Amino acid sequence: MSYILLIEDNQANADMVIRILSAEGYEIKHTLRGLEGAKLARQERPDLILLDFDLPDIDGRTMILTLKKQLGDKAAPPIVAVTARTADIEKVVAERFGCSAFVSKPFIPEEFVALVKRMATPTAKESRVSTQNGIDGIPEG
Amino acid sequence: MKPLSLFARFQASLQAKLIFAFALVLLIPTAVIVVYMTNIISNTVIEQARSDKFRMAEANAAKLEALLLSAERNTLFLSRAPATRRYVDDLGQNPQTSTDGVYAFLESFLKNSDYRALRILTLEGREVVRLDKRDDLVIIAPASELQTTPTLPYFVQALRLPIGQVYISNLTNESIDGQTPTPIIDYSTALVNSSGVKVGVIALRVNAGPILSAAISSDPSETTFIVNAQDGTYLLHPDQNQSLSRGGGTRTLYQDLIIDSGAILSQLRDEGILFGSTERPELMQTFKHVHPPYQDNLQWVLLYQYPIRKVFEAVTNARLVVIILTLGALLLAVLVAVIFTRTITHPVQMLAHTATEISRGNLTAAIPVVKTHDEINDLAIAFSTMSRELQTLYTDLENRVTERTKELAAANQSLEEARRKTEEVSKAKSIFLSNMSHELRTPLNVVIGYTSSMLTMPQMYNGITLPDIYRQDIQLIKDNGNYLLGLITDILDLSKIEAGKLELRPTVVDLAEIFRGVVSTSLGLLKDKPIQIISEIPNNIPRVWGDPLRVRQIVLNLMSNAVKFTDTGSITLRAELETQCVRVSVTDTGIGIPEKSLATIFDRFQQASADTDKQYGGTGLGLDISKRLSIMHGGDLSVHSEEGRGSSFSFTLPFAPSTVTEPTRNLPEPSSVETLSSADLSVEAIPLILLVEDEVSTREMMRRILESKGYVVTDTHDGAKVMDLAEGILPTLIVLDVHLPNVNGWDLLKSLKANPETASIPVAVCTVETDKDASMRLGATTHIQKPIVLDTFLAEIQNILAFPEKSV
Repeated sequence: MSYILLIEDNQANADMVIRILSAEGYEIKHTLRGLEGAKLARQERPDLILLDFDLPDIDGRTMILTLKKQLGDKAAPPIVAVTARTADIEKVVAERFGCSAFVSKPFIPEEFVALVKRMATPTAKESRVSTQNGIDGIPEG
Repeated sequence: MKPLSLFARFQASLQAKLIFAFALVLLIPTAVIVVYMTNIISNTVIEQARSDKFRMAEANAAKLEALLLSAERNTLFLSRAPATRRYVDDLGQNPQTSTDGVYAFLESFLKNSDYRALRILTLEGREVVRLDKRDDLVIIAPASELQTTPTLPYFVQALRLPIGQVYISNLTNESIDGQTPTPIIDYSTALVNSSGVKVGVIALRVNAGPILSAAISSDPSETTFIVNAQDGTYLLHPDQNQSLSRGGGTRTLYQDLIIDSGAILSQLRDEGILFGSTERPELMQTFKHVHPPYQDNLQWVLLYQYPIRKVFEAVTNARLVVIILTLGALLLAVLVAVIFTRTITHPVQMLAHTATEISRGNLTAAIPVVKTHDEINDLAIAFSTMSRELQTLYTDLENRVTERTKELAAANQSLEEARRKTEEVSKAKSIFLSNMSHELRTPLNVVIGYTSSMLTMPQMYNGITLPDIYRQDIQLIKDNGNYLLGLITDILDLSKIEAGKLELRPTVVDLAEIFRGVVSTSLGLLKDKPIQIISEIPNNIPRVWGDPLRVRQIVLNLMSNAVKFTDTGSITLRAELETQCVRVSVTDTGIGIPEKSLATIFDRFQQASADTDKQYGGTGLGLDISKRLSIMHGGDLSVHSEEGRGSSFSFTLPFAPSTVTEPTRNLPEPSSVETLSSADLSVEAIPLILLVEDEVSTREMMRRILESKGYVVTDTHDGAKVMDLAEGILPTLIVLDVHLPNVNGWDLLKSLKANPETASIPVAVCTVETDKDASMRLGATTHIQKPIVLDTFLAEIQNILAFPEKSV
């Protein structure tokens, strides 16, 4: 199954997401901090990144740009912005910096699962792996 | 020069006006005086002429009379001379008396005079002595030539007169042997012997020519006539043929006068001056009688004709003199006026010039020195004072303006301060609400997420479905979670509306589509209530103009209210066409609203009764928000209700502008998850800059200028975090202030360069130190001298970003 990186500073929320997605068979790596998340993304190259916008150590904009820069362009895993904020600016920033989807909290678990399924399809992952596996040596989830 | 500009110059020139005024003032009395004077002068001249002429006439008449009388005296002398007496005494006794003695006397007398002839006649009229004078020769007539003329007037009249009186005949002509006729006058008187008896007559014939000539006027332009007043014959006439004294004498004065003879004749009887008679309007005629005493038969009139034109010539000359003198005086006066007014206007002009200078803002213009000691001097002094005052005032005003400007600036500043504070408060409020919303939503996500999962996702629980005994409670938790979420959303919306931060994004709205979505959502809200939901939307409803999200929010709000307060019956969602808009209404058959509550129904946190919220729930914000949104769409939310029968809420939406034909995009059902469109492909090229600076204002300034170029900046003041941040985000560039609290910036730079992950990141060192080489040795890409000059700073940054290879 796909390997998902969850960058979320709220432990309870993170736990719930892990519970929900684990039930769907995804392997999830979680970190509470953005900088660590960036390092993990660089080192482990997940199939999907779930990114909370409101991180204590780094702002959402820098975080997305960092991820996009570090993961490269075409082969980059999709980034899904997750936020409890409702202001339009959040969505605009997410879109501007290349996030693939936007999830506002609270979300309906079924819808969330459906989105993740759409974003992290094994076929997409396979195509990525087939092109980049040898080069980056990313461990598969 | 053009006349207009001359006139304009005149109008503009004070001096010209003054001169004009002078001339005018002078001209008026002068004109009056000249007119008066010329009248007086002409009268005087005419009077002068008249009296001159008349005096001359009088003098000539006197001369004439004297000449006539001189001959009379000589006649008397001759008659009484001893020689004559002796002869007369003898003559009475002896007619043959010797004439020798008397001849000798008479001959000598005649020789020494210019008389023509002497005769002595007897009482019978027989000449006894006769002497004729021819060309200065006295000829004694021989006895044979002596005549008897007893009927001649001089003989008859002499005897008739009393003794001692002389008869003077009228003027006659004597023609002798074809010679030129000579005008003559005969004088005669009776000869008386010693007994006193008349014994004869002595007659003296006088050449009248010299006598008459004495009357001729010395003025060549004056014509002299002598007229016999008895018959009007011309005794003397300029035309020889008309003059009796020149051998003519066929014409009379009366023949010359045709119409106005009366006036002339009266003048002949009288004497005086006729100034322009009817017949001879061009002439001044002076009449004067010549009338020797005791000579009734001798009635002559001296007539002088003088052309009035000549008189008037004199008048004209006199007038001319007056006018010339006047004009000369005027000219002189104007000349004086020019000089005089110049002394007045020159200072005024100088003052005017200075005033102009001052009006142009040249307050320091020199005040002209006026040396006159009159009002203009006072004016100049006053002007000078005024100018100084003005200068003082101006300076004062400038100072005051500056002061006021400062005050105003201060006031503005405090106002700006207040505004900024208000904005800050408002911003803080917004941020607070936004944060609160965020903080509330995060735990709510867990509440709603887990309850939802428990109800619908048994796979999370090893396939164990939630036992029914929990299901109702879990559902309740979930519903309340959703209610709380709604409340948070509503509060946030309301605060945005109140802060004016909620902006509509109006576009063309397809009501039918919105209705479909709302009905579908409402059906989900019904639970098991036996309610029929009806959607009525006529086909002819046009597209309307509004923010689809907000329109949907209003309709959904009204619908959920209706569902809430209706237990059975129907809820009708209706669109109706009105003249300028479309009315959207939601009508239910619910509990309705008591009349007393209708007024407060839209108030915040108000429901129809205090119990209502306990029974039906709801935030109490929905209607408030809906009403405000309706107003923002140019309408209003209104309600009709009857307690126990139901309620009807409605609002209006304007028609879409006809020019906009863009169809409404399919409105997605609101969802917490949303797929975004493809990202900008060049995102990775955006420079990511790590800004390390502990001084907050400098940091903000640098951040702002970098962000203005589209760079993404993450900053920190904490040196301890720099390594973590750099390793985490791997920025495009690090801007490093090496003077940091707690941490040595130089060490930090060394660490960055020592770490393989961050070694390649260019570092721009910012420092007050001037030792550029030191930072370059430690691996800095550039050395930016503090204090920061923004342009230089930006140029340096851009340079590094453009050529990052330099950094290695």
